[in-house]
Amino acid sequence: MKKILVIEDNPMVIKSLEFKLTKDGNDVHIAHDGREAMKFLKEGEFDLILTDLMLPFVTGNELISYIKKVYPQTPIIVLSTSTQETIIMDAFNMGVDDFITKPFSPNELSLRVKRLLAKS
Amino acid sequence: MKDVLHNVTAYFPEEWAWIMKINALFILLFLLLTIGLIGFIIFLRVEKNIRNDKKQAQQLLLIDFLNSFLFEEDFDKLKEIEDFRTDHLKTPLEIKVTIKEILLFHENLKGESAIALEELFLQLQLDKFVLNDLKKGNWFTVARAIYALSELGIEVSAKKIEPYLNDPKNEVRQQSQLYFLKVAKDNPLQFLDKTERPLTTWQQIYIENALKNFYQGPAPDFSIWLDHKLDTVVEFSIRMIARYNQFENIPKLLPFLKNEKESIRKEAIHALCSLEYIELLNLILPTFKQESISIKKEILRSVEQLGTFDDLKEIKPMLAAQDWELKIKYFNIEKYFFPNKKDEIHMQYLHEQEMGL
Repeated sequence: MKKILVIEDNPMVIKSLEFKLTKDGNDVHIAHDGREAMKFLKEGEFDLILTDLMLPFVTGNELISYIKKVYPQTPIIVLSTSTQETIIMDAFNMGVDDFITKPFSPNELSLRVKRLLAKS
Repeated sequence: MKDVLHNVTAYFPEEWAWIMKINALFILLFLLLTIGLIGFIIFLRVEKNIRNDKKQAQQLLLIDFLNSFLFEEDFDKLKEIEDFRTDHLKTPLEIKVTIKEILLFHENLKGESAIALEELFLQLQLDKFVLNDLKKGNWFTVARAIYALSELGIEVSAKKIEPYLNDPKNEVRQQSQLYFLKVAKDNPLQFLDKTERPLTTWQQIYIENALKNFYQGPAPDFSIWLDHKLDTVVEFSIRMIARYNQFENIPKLLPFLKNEKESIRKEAIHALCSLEYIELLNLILPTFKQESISIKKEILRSVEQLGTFDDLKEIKPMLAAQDWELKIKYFNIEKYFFPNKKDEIHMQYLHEQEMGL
């Protein structure tokens, strides 16, 4: 069972992701904001991290920098409403492995998660 | 009145002076009023809490139901939908919460899941409730109903939505415009023919955004609405001609350079400049002096984009001494033509200082 950390503040998106990823056989942990995510990350490593960019307390970019510093091998998928090229480019430059824009297709997201987990 | 007062005060001890009785009466009245008011507030609060509890219970139920419906393969869709419809869509509150949650899911999901949600909406017969809402008088109910229809792409007879295109409320007009745009297979701006109220700036932004992000058909020929009776529609059409690079419509834009409305002239200059119509400067430079400050700025911008330094020099004598804003823009553009000019001026200043001039 792969351990996935979902960092998201939209309750509807959280529930859908939790439902879908758990159904796919993963152990899903939810952090509602950047601070909660930091707590989870300090407790241990995850197989994959799925994060929004606009988060309360600690921004998605700050989190990505932290994860890349502490767990450089952990794959990161960004799930964001932003379609701006500069934001997407910045995220990839920071080392994220995939970028999914909202609204998103849960089936597509599930496939991308599986592909990255298989790689790692 | 006198009798009523006499009857009420009869309950007080007889030895009390009349002023005491009146005071006691008012104290009693205010006490009753206060108790009534507090009771009413408590009642409202309790009712709100009960309503919120019911709302939360329905939301939790829906989250499970919708997730199972979308992602569980062994979910017996027909049976479960029928059960949900009979058991959990009894009250208007339950129906409203269900519509809101489905819309929320639909806004965040795309692909197969979004299509499945659209089908679910119809299978739960929520469209009937939304169509009933359309008949209600409250503007916010109508706006919400039209939003639900357009978000889920549910087509209804155009006659049901058309009256709202000219509703006194901006929000209702905006939702009906977006409805026609989102359900259109072609000619997405046909609703402009029936629009009689000016388009607000926000409406123009939303229409442009919906054209880009939701409408799938071929781009419309925006020149059709250049002779619309509303100036805002004409301005919007001019802007869209430039945005969609409809070079074939350049000849139709030229008359607008002489339009009596300043905002339309400005939009035409801006559009022709964006379309890189080289002849534009020959048409607008001679009238520079007579134009307003905002058009003068637009002309200067056009010179920067399409012109040469000679075109810019043509403007210099036409700048009044007190036009500081225009002068600053002029010198900025001059710097654009000669990027080293700033350094040249600075060097000359240093040289003159050295020479003691």
